[in-house]
Amino acid sequence: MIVLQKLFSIAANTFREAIRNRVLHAVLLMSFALVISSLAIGALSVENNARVIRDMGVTFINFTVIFVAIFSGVSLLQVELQRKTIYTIVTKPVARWLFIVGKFLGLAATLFVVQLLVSLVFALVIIARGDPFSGVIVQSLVLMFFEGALIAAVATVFSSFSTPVLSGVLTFGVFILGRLRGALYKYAELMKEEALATLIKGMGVVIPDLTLHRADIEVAYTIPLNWSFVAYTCTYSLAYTGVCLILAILIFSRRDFV
Amino acid sequence: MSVVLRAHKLAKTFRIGFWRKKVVALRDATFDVNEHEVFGLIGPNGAGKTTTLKILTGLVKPDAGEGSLLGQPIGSVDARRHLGYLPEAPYFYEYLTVGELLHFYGGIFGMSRAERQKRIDELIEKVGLSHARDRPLRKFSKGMLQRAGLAQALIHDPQLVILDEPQTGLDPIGRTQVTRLIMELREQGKSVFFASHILPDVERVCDRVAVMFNGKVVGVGRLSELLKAQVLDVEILAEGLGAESRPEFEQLGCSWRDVDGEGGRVMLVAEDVKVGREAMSLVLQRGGAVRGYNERHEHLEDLFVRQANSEQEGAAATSGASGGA
Repeated sequence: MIVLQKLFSIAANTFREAIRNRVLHAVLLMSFALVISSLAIGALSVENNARVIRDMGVTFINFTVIFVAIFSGVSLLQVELQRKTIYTIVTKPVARWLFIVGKFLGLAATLFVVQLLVSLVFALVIIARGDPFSGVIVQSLVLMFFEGALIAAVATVFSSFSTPVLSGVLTFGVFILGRLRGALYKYAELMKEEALATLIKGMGVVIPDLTLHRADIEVAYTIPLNWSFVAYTCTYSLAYTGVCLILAILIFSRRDFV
Repeated sequence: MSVVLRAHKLAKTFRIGFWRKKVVALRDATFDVNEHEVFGLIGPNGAGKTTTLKILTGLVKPDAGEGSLLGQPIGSVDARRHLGYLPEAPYFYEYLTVGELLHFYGGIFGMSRAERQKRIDELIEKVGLSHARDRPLRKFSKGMLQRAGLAQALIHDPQLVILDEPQTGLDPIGRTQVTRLIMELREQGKSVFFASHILPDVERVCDRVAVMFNGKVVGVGRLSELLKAQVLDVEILAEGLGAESRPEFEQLGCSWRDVDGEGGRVMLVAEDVKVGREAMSLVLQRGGAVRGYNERHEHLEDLFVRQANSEQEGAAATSGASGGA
């Protein structure tokens, strides 16, 4: 019970820190503006502007979630170390794993709230136009959240041993490779250079499969996803997130706070 | 009397920079802190005080040696259950108010909301931050942050309090308040272990001290045991002596210094009490008057200098011996 309270305290504090951050406020405002601007972009399209609005809206939400996941994730531990706020936490009866998990849960809560707010604006845009807020949009939003959490976990691993800038670059790299994973695999199969093909395939084992989280075509054409596929993808991201957190804990537990 | 903190042969070497250069921060820290006592760790900058504190609080892992806090091995979560710690120049979450900060730390200790609220009210009053209760910490001065740091260290009413340079950054009023707080903690039966280089404060509150030099504890004990009991020198403030008397005093073994310029008051410093008394008689014989007499005993500062000199001499002797070998 006390473990849960400690976890909640650390998570709540991380969440409070994030929501009081002015950069996050600016990102939210920009996302609201982008989602609303999809109305104008849709109006410019030659036909089926509802499809364009859905497509644009979901893309903007995705962009916001990934940005917040990387931006907050890379500073999650490094800011604590740079500002030395960690000194007053790890000297209390808090195991290092609990600190990492608590921080990550706070970040996940931030991602959830950010995505919820932008999604609400998106829903208002759709409803105001008289279009249906179809189930596939909800499915897509669920996949997006789990993708954001996974990327935040990747950022946490990098943040446990490197600077925020380097962590940001590395996490963004993982995100891009994750999105291109399917294409890279196909490319590797066509390659004549066996060593390079093996290397790319090997990378594919480590890099998360983020193509699973993409549902933009389904959203644009309102083709519902199979819920068992959504459940599988969420379980996959949860497992990947868990492995990342274990890795971050292992690295962080060995550190001296000088 | 039971031991609440034990450090035994703690050692730590850091590796810094691109080439992982070795820097020995701690060679041998061995001392015990007893229940209900105020124990000071003193030493010049770079002596290894903060590294010792960081090892004891679990921030840094030692390369060698062992230690315990309240019977639990250092580094374990249980060891920190009844520990309050104030780091040197503490930093906090600057977007929080002091009340929010203390709620956060109270939550980490598993305190209920009601319990926290009561304790927070008491502590904010005690450390003198009532006027800044609703102000975010980013608007706090260095001294105010230090007070907030003290409050967070005491939030769960710990049995053992470890403070790293608690008086640093405080004005004289703040320093007096911290000194009073440490004394209050002792009266409440707590044990306080603190590192400081502000020696008068250490002298005022500590029951025992450990002296550190070059990463090594070179002396542990009561101040009365560590400080030399004999008189260091005798100062005599004399009046009405002519300059012609000066050779006589110098022959006796006294140094002569004109305080108000030639013909005015003179400060005579004798190396021991016997010479001092003879000098006093001589002042009277020469028609002068004694306006002040002070037998100077060793203070912590003198001990500090004495230890530093002996360390330097030791190092020079070692390098000389190894150079000759």
